[in-house]
This record gives sequence, C-alpha cells and structure tokens, in this order.
Amino acid sequence: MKNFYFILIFALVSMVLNPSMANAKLRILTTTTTLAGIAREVGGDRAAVESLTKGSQEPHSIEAKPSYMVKARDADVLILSGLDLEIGWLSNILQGARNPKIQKGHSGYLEASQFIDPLDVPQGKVDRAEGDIHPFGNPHFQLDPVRVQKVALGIAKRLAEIDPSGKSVYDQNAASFNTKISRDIDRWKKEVTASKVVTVVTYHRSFAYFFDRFGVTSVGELEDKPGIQPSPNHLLDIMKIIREKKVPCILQESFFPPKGAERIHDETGVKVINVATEVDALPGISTYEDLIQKLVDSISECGRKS
Amino acid sequence: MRGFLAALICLVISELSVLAQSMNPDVSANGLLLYRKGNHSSSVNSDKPNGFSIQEIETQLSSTVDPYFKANFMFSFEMQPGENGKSPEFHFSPEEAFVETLSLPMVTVRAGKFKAFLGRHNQIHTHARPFIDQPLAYDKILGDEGLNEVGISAAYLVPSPWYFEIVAQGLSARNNNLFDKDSADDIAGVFFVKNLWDLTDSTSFELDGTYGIGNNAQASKTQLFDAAATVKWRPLAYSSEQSVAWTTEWLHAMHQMDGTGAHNEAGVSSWLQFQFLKNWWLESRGELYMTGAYDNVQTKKASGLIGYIFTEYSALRAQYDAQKEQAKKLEHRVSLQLNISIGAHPAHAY
Repeated sequence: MKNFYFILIFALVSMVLNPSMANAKLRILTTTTTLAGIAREVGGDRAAVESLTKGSQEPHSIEAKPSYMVKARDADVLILSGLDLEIGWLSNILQGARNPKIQKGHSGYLEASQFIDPLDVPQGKVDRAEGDIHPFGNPHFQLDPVRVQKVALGIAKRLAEIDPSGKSVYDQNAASFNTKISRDIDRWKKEVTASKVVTVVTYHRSFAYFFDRFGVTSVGELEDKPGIQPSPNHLLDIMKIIREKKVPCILQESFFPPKGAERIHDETGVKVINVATEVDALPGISTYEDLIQKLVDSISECGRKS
Repeated sequence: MRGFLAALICLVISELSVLAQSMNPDVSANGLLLYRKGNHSSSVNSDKPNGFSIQEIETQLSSTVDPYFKANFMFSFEMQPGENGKSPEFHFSPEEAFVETLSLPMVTVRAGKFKAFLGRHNQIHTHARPFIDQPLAYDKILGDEGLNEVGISAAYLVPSPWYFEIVAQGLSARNNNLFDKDSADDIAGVFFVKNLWDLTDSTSFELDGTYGIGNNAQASKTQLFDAAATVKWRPLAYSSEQSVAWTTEWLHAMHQMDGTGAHNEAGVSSWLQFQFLKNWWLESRGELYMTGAYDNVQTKKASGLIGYIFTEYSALRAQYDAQKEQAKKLEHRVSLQLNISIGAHPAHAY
C-alpha cells in the first residue's frame, strides 16, 4: 500500500511539474506558425499543435532560447521547414531538448521540404560573397498552396506512422484540407489575373513560390543580397528599376524593417503594401487559407489605381 | 562501350564524392586580429602586449558520430609570452574535444576535454565573448583559459514548466590557479544549475549558480562559488535590429590552507550590451576584484566597447579599459579587434 501511495504521489507531482503528461493528444511542435496551421488541419482533435516561433518573427534569425528547449522536450513530433531555414538556431534547441523522439533520423523529426521540389537551387559552389543563400534551394515554399497540399499529405502519413489508430482521421483531414485549397486556388488565380499585376518588388525572396504559382515576377529585392540590409546605392538601383518597369508596388514582408521601402515610396510614389508571409503575422490571419487570401488581396490592392 | 564505361565511372565517382561530402563533419575557423595600445604593456612578453597580434585562431570540427553521439573537436593557435626572455610563440592546443549523447531522454552526458559548465562566461569561446577580454574575476581566479579540463558531465533537464537544468561534473583537478596540478588522480566536483524564465515574449530572466570543490596544492580544499543573473530583451518584430542584455556575475574562490585558515578571492562583473541598430553595438562593464576580506579591493576596472557587425561572420570592435590595481598607476588601454569566421560554424548558445 505504501508503494501505491508513493507511486500515486510521484505521478501527481510529475503531472504538476509537467502538465503535458496529463494530455493524451499527440504533441506536435512546429518551427513556424504556418506549419502549425497546416499541422492543425491534419491533426484535428487528435493533436495539440504549437509553434516555436511567432508569426511576427523573422524565421531565419531566431535565438535558440532555452524556453524553446522546454517545448521541444515535451514534443512527440517536430515539423520543420528544412532547406536550412532553421540552420542558425534549431540544432541548439534539439540538442538542449534531450528528447530522442524528435532527433534527426527518428520518426518524430519531419522535414516538410522533403515533400516539395525546391526553387532557386544554386548551381555550382555556394559562396557567402553572394549573401546568406540557401544551398539546397529557397525555403519559403509555404506560400505555394500546391506544394503545401503535398506537405499536408506528408504530415498525415507521418502522423499515421506514429499514431496508427488515427490514420483514417489524418488521411481524411489532409484530404479535406487539400480539397478546400484546390477549390481556392482557381479563385485565387482568377483574382491575381484580374489585378493585371505582373511585376513587383519585395524585400527578400520570400515570395518566389507564390509568384511562380500565380504568374507574378519579382524584378528586384530591397536587400543588397540575401540577409544583407539595403545600402543607399542599391535602393537607388531599385528606384530606377521601379521607374523603368513601371512597377506598381513593393510587397514588404511584415517582419523586415520598412525604412528602405518608405524611402523608395517618398522618392517614386510607388505603393508599399505590408504583407504577412506566415500565419498570425498580422491581425486576421489565423489559418493557411487566410494567409494566401490576404496575399492575393494585396496583389489586387497593388493593381488598383490609387 | 568505352564511352559508356567512362560515363559510368564518372557517375560512380561523382556519387561517392557527394556521399563523402555529406558525411564530412562541419568545419569552421575563427580568426581574431588584435591591436592594443596601453600605458603599461610595452614588453612583448607581457600578458597584454602593445601592438598588433593574432589573439587566437580557432578551428572546429563537429558532427554526429552515429545515432547515439555527437562529437566536437576545437583546436586553437594562440600567441603566448615567451619563457625566459624568448620571443612570444604560437601555441597549438586542443581547446575542447568531447562527445555528447543524443539518445538519452532528459539527460545529456558529455565526456572529454571541455569548458566546464560554470557561471555565465566560462563556456564562451574567445571569438564569442561580449568583450575582447574575459571578465577580471575569471582572469584572476580561474586563469587565462577558465576552467577547461578533462572529465565527464551529466546535464539533466528537469521536467518543470520553466527551463531548469542541473549539471554534475567530475573533472581532473589540474587548473593551476585552483587545484593541485601535480596530483594526477584528483577529481574536482563542479555542480551547476541554470534557470530561465520568459517574462514576456520579448524578455527573459536567467539565474545560474555554481559550486565546485577539489584538492589544492596546500593539501587542503578549494571551494568555488558563482552566481550570475541576466535580463535580456529582444523585440519580436524587427528582432535583428535592437536588443538589450544586462548581466551581473559574482565569482568567489575559498582556498583552505592547511592549518592556517582560508585565503579568499572574489570578483564581481556587471555588463550592459545594447544593440541600437542592426549592425551596431554599445557595451559597458564595471568590475571589482578582492582578496581576503570583501573591503580589500585589489583591482577596479571599467570598460566600454563599440562594435560594428558586418554580418554574423565578421565584426570590428573597439574597446577601452581603465584598470587600477592597488599600488600601481592607473592603466589605460585601447584594443581593436577584427573577428572573422569562415565555414560551417555551429550556432552560439542564447
């Protein structure tokens, strides 16, 4: 009897110290809020999903806070973008989490980029003189709804491997999500076409996949090179491009500083539109569909005569 | 047929080359070029000589070994004062060489030569220090290299809602300043706890404590105590543009003398780091070092630093120090440091 009380007290104390032990749902941790949004669609009621980062944070340059290790310690599954998006910070969190389930090579470690064909893969030797480029390709594939459909299927497959009793739920949730997205894509394409916007300028190459899908071209980035902040000379070059090509707007990712874009607006009058590239980055964007719809709305706004 | 065979051989070699590259460890190097000018350091053999010098070149290899271990090997080339009046020479030494477990739940076991989990500063490599030099108390109490010994550690992440880590370490007690370096089989015990709370999404508070004990050269014990606190703020939006961190650390060594009581030495450092633009940092630091009683201040030091960070791989920093040791004249020193990293350098700790 003494042993029984001891075990009971130990279990209660453990649950108080670590509340997640009391929760029977599959605990999914993602590196970004957009991956969390997709994982929520697929996991449904069987999963408790949390993102390490907030939507308002720039995902390349996160600090590996020990509090993130606490979240990773308790996770059953970690979903990351991959393509080196998280190279500057995730390895420390994985090491500090002391959770074998989510280490690379285990079933709880899921790199979403394995399900897509990447764009902007550099040819030949990669050199830091070209800035902070990603040797395996552009990691911002979350803005292409077609690639995200593949990611949703990949997540469903992996969740079913970890939690076989939920296979039919995960498969069904992924299929429902993909049906919704397929329906939306046709409408989004029509809206972008109707905007007559074919060229824009952005801060970073965050929209390569979105533009590739919807037929828009970025004619320049405000960054001198990836990860290198805009220099005055480079901004002058961008102003020239905007004037020559009659670019209607700059899409400014919400987590990058707006000073460069504001200066160009003052000089050229070009519209500057603040846009989200992750779920929860701006008010009113709480799902994946919200994120893409807002981007499409921004393109429409870009094409509107002011 | 020959053409087909040649193409096949090329394909196999290319595939093997890709495989070999993907199995290679991450390799990186850091170089620190230093210029110093002070009113006390005219000799090339002083510990902080005037003029240009290579402060340190460090190379690092890191990789997972297999599903169970990860290995890190770090080597440094450092210019050190020459002995018996000889010119300064470059010394090559393994700075750290250890393996860590990857597959144990809740615990990381580390074995090899490593910078001990101690206070806020001991594990920081020279190129990543907040200032060009290390804190006064570390210099005086632990020596140039800090507490960097061969041994084993176990770091347990307590299942608590905040970050709470307990580390137990058994290290060879060879540190010249603290222990009996000539005793081959002495083991020092060092115990470390680290807590971090997120006060808000942008602000964290970290509180660490360390206790160490080992045999000293006086056939008695040396005990080591450290406490450190840091408040750090970095906004979520435009997070690479600004941040503030304030750290205060207290380090105390109590050397028991056989039959003659104890010799105490202690130091406190407090430093503020302010990133006011994406590339610009301003820092200031105040320090005291005492021996015997706490009112017996031996050395006072004040430092200021301005840094320009080109990218995360290159930085230029200028530091001014004013240092007053009890009987000596006030020392002024200016240091300029060029800090360069190449290769796949692992991410630094928070």
